[in-house]
Amino acid sequence: MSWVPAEQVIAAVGNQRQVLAAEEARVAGFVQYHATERAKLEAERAQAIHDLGTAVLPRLDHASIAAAAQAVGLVGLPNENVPAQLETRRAWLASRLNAILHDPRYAQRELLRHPRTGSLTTAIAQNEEHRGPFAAIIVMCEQHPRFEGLWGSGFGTPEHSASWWRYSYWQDRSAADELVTKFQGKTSFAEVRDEYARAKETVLVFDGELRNLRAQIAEGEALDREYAALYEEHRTLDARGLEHTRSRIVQHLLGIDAAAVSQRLRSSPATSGLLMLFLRASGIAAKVSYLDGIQQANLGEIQKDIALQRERLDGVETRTRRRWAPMALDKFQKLAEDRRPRYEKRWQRFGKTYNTVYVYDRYDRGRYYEDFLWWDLFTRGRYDGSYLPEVHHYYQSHPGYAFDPDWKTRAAEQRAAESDTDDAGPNDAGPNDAGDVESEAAAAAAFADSSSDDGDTSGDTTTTDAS
Amino acid sequence: MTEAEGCALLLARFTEAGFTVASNFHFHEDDVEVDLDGWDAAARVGFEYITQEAGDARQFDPETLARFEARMEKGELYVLLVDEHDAVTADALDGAARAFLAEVAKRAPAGGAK
Repeated sequence: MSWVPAEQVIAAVGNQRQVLAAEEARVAGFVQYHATERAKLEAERAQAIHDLGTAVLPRLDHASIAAAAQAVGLVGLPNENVPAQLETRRAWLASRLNAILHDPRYAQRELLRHPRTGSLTTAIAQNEEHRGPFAAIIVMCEQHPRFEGLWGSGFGTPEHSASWWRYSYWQDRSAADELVTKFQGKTSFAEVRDEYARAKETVLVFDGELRNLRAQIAEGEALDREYAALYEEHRTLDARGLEHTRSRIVQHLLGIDAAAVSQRLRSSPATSGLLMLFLRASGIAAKVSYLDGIQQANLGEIQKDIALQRERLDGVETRTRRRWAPMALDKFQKLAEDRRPRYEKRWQRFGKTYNTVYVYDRYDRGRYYEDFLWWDLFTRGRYDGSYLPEVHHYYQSHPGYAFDPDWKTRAAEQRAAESDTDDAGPNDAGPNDAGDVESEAAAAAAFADSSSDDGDTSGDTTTTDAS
Repeated sequence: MTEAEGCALLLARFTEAGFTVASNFHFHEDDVEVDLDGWDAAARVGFEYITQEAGDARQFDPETLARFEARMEKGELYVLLVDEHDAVTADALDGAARAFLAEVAKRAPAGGAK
């Protein structure tokens, strides 16, 4: 059997550690890339949701609400009588605003709380000024390390008894003398005690008054804030009501199976216009969710593998350094094996899936299907996405579902059936649309490993539209 | 300051005041038996630096201390008691020793206890 010397083993371990470090850096880089792209998609999603909401409910009147409710299947919405609710709220706001306006704490806010001339502000300043000297007496006493003991033991009072043969007694006397010298005109600690007691009582009274004044200011300021908030709500009530109702409708739409909503919207000429907007909002939401899932699953797998490899290398290095013994050649070959092609292959596979989902923007193709899952539309049914919870759940809950990637035939059939409608659109004719190619190139760059030896990265990450 | 430093300072003050102080005196009278760091048997004046390390806290348990102090109350003896927990400093101990000795002189003008 051939053997490899320990020096060579340690060197091989070092090389493998470098490979792992490069992989870790690549993972960190991708996490950053995903965060950036995700932020862009979030903005896109917000815009899509806004556009859908505006189209579904252009105004907040009874007719528009009824039409929107009918379109999206929110049958209970008209009965809620949102316009009447808004009017009730408007009346309450007006009444509350009026009440605040007449509340003396608000009406006389300048008189009461002006920073320099307000009566409450002035009273606080005066109380603080008068409290100051008494507080200073308390501080002067309490700052002395033995004052607390002297005060507690009744030092300076007739009741105080202490053993004069104890060192602590003389310490107390000395401390008391020090304190007395701090008070002009005082000759005994008993006088200092009285002064301190008076100061404590006086400060207590001032503190109570200051608390009361500050509470009055706080109440007034709370009223100021309430008025400002309610005034703003009153001023923008219609817009808020409209936005809130739109949001409810959109959330309802996005919360239902996309295929079911798609079918519903397609079924009537009155709502078919909403279909594209819905598909866009729903598709982008699915895209964000899928990309998160793809990233988490794949990077998690890579990180796990890196940790395992590192543990193995640690073990080999520790054992070799301990005995400085050579390693059997077959074992060494396994240790020194170049793992980079394997990692590269994994990145290519991951990148392909990520890019395929990332670049997809033909959300309108959902209209050709009665039953569909965004995952299958994005990937044309070519990639297994069952490791993503939403994909897995869909397959589980739709046992008879099968995806047909031939959307062109479906489009033609649909056009024939709806001979008076031609909604295929000029850009819907074929693969590799210009927009797709551009964004795909940007996404592919994130996966490209400049240190890769085999140089086929870019070719492998390009998505080819099989249709 | 350490017990040794404190005792040296007290010994100096008591000696200056005219007392003949024996160090580490075993005091045993009636029901009181303790070791004193300094004791003038003739004047019945002394000092004790109570520290945990020297085991003084065990000798000067609350009962013994009460009996000991009762005798000082009666003027039978005067012993300056210094507790290490009282954050003893050289200046403060010096001042306390002088004040204690002045008080002894006031109470026992003849130079010692009854």
